[in-house]
Amino acid sequence: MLDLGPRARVAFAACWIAGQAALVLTAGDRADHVFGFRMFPEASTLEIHLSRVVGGEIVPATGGEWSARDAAGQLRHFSWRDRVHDPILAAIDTRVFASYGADTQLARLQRALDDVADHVPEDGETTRLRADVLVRRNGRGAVAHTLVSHDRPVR
Amino acid sequence: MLPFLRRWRDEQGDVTVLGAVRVALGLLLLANALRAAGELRLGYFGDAFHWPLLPEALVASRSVYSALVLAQLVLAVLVVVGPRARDALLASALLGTYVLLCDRLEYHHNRWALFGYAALLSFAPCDRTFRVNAPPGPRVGPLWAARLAQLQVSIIYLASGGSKLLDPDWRSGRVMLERFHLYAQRESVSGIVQGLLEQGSRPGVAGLLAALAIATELFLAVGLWSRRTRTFALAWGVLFHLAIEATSRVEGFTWLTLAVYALFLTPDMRAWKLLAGTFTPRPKPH
Repeated sequence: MLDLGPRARVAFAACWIAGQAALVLTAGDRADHVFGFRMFPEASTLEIHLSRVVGGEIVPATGGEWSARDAAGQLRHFSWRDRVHDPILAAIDTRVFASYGADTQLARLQRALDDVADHVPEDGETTRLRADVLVRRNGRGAVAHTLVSHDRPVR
Repeated sequence: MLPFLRRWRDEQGDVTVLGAVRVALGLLLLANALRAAGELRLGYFGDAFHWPLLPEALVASRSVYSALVLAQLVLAVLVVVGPRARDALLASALLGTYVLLCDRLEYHHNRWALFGYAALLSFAPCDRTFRVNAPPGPRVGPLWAARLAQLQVSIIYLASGGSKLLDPDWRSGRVMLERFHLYAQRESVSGIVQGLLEQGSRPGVAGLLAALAIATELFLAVGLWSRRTRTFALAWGVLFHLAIEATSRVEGFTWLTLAVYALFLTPDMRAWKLLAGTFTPRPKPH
């Protein structure tokens, strides 16, 4: 099967080159530019500060940790890192290098906020998770970005 | 059909070097599988935040993923030792790509490149040399897939160098300058490297180094193909990648690229012939 005939060689090579070219040329359309071979695209850093929206108010979740009551009124403890293991996204209140660029990490962070919001069912207080991110692109001054999770039901 | 296309399609040549590249890829696949096994011991990726390119229903469950990691380990060993190595290379490439599609947080250029080279090499007669129980037989075979793997090297350099060339921050040296600044802040940086980083952290020097990096990648994309520039391109490329290895964490990308460089070595390079002859048994005369 792996010893291709002359015609199949040409067809395979054409498909391979077209596929690679398409992936490289469309990398910019993907939030994290995967499959684009854009090596060392930036030297940016980010600093994530996590907070919660509780009853319309913003409550800091220092270090990615917070406590909230469940539907039965029992106080429970939550940690961002219980769900988010990626070393960059898990670094809360710390300036870290944004591997693969700031846009990649912001896109991942948005997904992570939604994911964590979906995986803390015992939190009966938080309507949304929020991340205030200080992004320093290639040594420039810090620019603030605010990302919020989707709304979650609160009992 | 164009003459050069026909030449590429029908080219036959010495396949000794393909066996050496296969062994190198096998070792890198093994390292990748061992890394995945180590991470699995700490926890299954699907139990934490992950971002699949596939629909969630198609993401490997814990038991399936465990089996995949085990399969990757076995396949990598098969790639190294030789028998059924080509099947194992293709299977490794497909499984590895599937795992990347299950969680794009695990995407790294070196892993994607590794699976790409593994897929391409599986179509080349890379299992005739550098293997256990090598059967006697001709060391000549079709080289079209090896040439495609070489083209993949150029595609990667072109994509990387081209993206930098189009980026004003790269062209101005700003990215390079900031990388040096950030790297110099690490506590683990040794004295000699610290001194080099201080030199690189001067704007003029960083700008020159950025231009050199872009020019190097674009040159390597074409320079490796020309008989006149190949020797210089290989030497320059080795230095370029070793410099990156010393200053950045790129997983196995340095060793992967240097391994695939072997495909550019031609039989007229005596050093390579001597090396290959030392480690490979000669086929018995008929």
